Amino acid sequence: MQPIQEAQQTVGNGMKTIQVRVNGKIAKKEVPIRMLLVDFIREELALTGTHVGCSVEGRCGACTIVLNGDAVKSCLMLAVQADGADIMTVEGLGTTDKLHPIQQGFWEKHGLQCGFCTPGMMMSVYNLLKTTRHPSIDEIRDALVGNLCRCTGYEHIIQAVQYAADQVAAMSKEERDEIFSY
Amino acid sequence: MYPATITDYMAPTTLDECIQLLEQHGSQAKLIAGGQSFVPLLKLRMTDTSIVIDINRIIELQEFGEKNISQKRILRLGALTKHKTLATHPLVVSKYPILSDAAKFIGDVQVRNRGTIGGSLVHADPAADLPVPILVLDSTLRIVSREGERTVSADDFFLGIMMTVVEQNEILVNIDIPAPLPGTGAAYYKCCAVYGDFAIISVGASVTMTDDSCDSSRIYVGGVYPSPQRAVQTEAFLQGKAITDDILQQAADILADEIPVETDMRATAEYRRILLKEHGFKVLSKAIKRAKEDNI
Ligand SMILES: Cc1cc2nc3c(=O)[nH]c(=O)nc-3n(C[C@H](O)[C@H](O)[C@H](O)COP(=O)(O)OP(=O)(O)OC[C@H]3O[C@@H](n4cnc5c(N)ncnc54)[C@H](O)[C@@H]3O)c2cc1C
Ligand code: FES
Ligand code: FES
Repeated sequence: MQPIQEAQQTVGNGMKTIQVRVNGKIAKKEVPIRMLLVDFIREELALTGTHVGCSVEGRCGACTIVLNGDAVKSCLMLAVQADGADIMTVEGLGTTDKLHPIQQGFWEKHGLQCGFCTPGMMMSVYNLLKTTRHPSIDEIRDALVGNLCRCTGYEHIIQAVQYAADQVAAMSKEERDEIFSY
Repeated sequence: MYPATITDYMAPTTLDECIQLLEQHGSQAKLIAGGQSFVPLLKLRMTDTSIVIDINRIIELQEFGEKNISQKRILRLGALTKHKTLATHPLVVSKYPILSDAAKFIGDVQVRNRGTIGGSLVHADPAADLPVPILVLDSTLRIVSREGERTVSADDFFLGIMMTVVEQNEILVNIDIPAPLPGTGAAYYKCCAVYGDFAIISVGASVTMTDDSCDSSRIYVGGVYPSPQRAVQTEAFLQGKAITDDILQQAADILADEIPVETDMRATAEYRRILLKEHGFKVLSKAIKRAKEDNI
């Protein structure tokens, strides 16, 4: 993908204009400097798949997104810091007609119960499977340390990741590049 | 939780621009690097920051690699070097493994993807991971302001709990780590309640060996107040000794005795001493094992 331009405009009054590409679509908006990136995604872009599960310290991982290719917690960034960034949220993963292998894995292996942690989980799994072909159970656990789940006890999530990893491993390079384009 | 109003945000691309902004805006301005410690402070409204200066685009802070400086081989880490790089880069893993020992277990993947060594050192949490290896490796830190630059040895850098020599108008630019002498091995380990948590106690050691005998060592303990403590008695005990498991056990006893530990929300002093003894032994053994592999 082509890099996008930063907006870099100061509006004054504690506001700034930023430009980001989220799930392939460019958005240019005026935002308060104090606005967290997660609130920008949820409230300004109405992409409410990205969740907020903790108030201050950034431990739960429900807000995890992929920013310029890396999984990061969007509650630990200001929206203005993302000016010029390429972002993927859970909404960018797949569609109901064509699930991403990660979504397929959570579906097949019952990798969720209430589903609150799931979008963030999937972003961390994306970060893992983008570069790791056959992750071991330890590697999967390590990749998910920053994502808390209050329901599943994690075992089914690990099975979901293994299922997804197998699907990805069976794909051609072209297919893989297409579903891991961020 | 929402941060309080921030009136301005700048993202300079050069060091010069950045130090000018710091000078111009005084104590209202704060730097942000990875934001993994700073954004929680903003959310708690525990910092009266009205101007945020984002340093992530400054080229001079992004150096990474070995070079020769006045005929000495060093590893230079720009302040923006990410925890992820320290945890996984082949150069670090193979030649400076104490750094990857420490970085690998900082928080979680997301934190390591954004957190920087500069931010961690300047934040100076007594339970943070990177201060210990930086001390063990006898590093030098370069700090710049409008008035000029100065270099500070790691031993003089930390002043107290969340306090360092870096002044409001200054910026930490890079950290220089001398390449290990032949026959040197170093290791780090932290004990924590759950995987990726801050340290209850952590130990880092570097040992230089000739055959089976210890020429010198540097040993520091983290997770104690106000900042990591050097184990001078343990170092003195080891110097010149032929290393056996028995000697290392005695060294670990001295270590657990000489470091003042306290009771806090994470653990009791007694528990810290027990951990220190056990893991002091393991870390010294690992450092010596690495030193011997290096000798071959
Ligand atoms: C969930 C979670 C778990 C964590 N677990 C651990 C852990 O197990 N071990 C551990 O060690 N740490 C842990 N951390 C902290 C983490 O390591 C932070 O990345 C680090 O403490 C700060 O680095 P940063 O780049 O994010 O700095 P920031 O948060 O951006 O900045 C921290 C402070 O340093 C100042 N600063 C930053 N860079 C410079 C510079 N170049 N010059 C001058 N001042 C500068 C800022 O003004 C600010 O005051 C954790 C954090 C989180 C959110
Ligand atoms: S909301 Fe919990 S880590 Fe961001
Ligand atoms: S499924 Fe409920 S929190 Fe994970």
